Amino acid sequence: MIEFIPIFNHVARVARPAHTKVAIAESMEEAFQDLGLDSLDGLVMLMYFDDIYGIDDAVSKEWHPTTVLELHDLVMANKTKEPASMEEVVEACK
Amino acid sequence: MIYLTHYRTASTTDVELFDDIVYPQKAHWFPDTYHRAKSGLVYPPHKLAEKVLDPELLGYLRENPVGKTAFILAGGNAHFAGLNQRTYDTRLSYTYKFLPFTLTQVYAGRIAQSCGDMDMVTTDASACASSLKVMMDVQNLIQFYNFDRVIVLTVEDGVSNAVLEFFGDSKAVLTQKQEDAGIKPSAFDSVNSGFRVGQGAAFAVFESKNAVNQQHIKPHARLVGAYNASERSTNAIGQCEDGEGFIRAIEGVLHYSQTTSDQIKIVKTHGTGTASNNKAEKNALTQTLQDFIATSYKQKIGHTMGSSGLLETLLLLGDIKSGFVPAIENRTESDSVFLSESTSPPDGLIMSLAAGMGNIYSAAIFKGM
Repeated sequence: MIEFIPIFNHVARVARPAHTKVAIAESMEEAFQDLGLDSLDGLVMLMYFDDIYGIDDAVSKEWHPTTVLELHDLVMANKTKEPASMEEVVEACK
Repeated sequence: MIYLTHYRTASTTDVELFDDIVYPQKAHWFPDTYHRAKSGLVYPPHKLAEKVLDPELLGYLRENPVGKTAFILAGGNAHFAGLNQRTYDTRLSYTYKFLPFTLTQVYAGRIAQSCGDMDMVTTDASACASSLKVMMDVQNLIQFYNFDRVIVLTVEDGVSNAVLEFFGDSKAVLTQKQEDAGIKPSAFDSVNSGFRVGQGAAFAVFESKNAVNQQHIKPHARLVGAYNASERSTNAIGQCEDGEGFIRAIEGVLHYSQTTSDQIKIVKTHGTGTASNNKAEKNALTQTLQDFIATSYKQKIGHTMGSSGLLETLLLLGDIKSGFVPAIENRTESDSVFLSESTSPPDGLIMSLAAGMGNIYSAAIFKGM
């Protein structure tokens, strides 16, 4: 299983407006707000996580994670598939 | 004084036939803007906008604030992904999973963040005149409200099921049926006429004299003036063929910029090549200006809708810098005014014109530098 934090950081980069700076998450405890991610960024990220982990959009729309760990736990509890590699994540976010 | 200090453009001369839509027609497009659009995570107009959102330039703008700054998204119209005619099963069909970003103001707010701190973020939906219409906004903000930088992004969802059907249905666009009959896109011509739809975007930065001096940069052009007008028309998607709307816009910009008509030497026409625009725009130009040459870009890159006015102006500034004013493509008659051959640029001012459905006409005057 590939680590969650690199996936989180890649999805955050894709979800933020083009060409803005994004702080890199280094631990599971980091809060979205401290990373410069706003509520719209969070919603877009969930759409990508749905795609990557095979989660129904209707389910994730009810989530309100505020930290990397909270998001991780929700994704793990609802996933129907998992990416085999970071390359697969990058491809899913193109 | 208002200066054009930075710009980026995206347009293509490549065309492709869309034969699986209601009105088969060719369009100028970047196929990669639809890459993975069916996943619902990619919105083609945003992919198109990314072609002009140069990270290096955005970084420069963020790191070099100059004073009061505004961001304008000239979006042409408001199309909502997942709605309207997007349900047809064509290669252009998709349903966007994240609808808020299809709202122009939400998208504008997101992209404005990339350009630094903003004192105002706004949008415009003046149809095909949108990006030239906002030149009057740029002028107002810098001249009367002490803004030092106004950033304009213009992009519209032109090549989409909804737009291609709308223009096919209204018989404004050149359909494949007409192309098969030998008609080529052109303007002000007695044989060839009409346009194809095209994808295009532009990003332009306008700054005050103070801002230019502060940064020690050499501008590309000066925005001499801009004006918008409407005509006494009862048809919101038509044009008065006597050119009343264009005439009002031209007279307005000449008056308020204290420019005389003989100073205008080059005109970038709206130039759709439709019968009504040919008559309206030609009547207006011949009645208001004396010694000028006129060109059009829609035959080369398609009609990029809301982006067209500013995008085509920026292309013209580039061509003039390269030493020529391009001919209007596919002219069948020799014409030294509505150019049938490319020519050297005469000294003088440049006037850009645009018209939009809903009865809006825009004129702006630029001086190349």
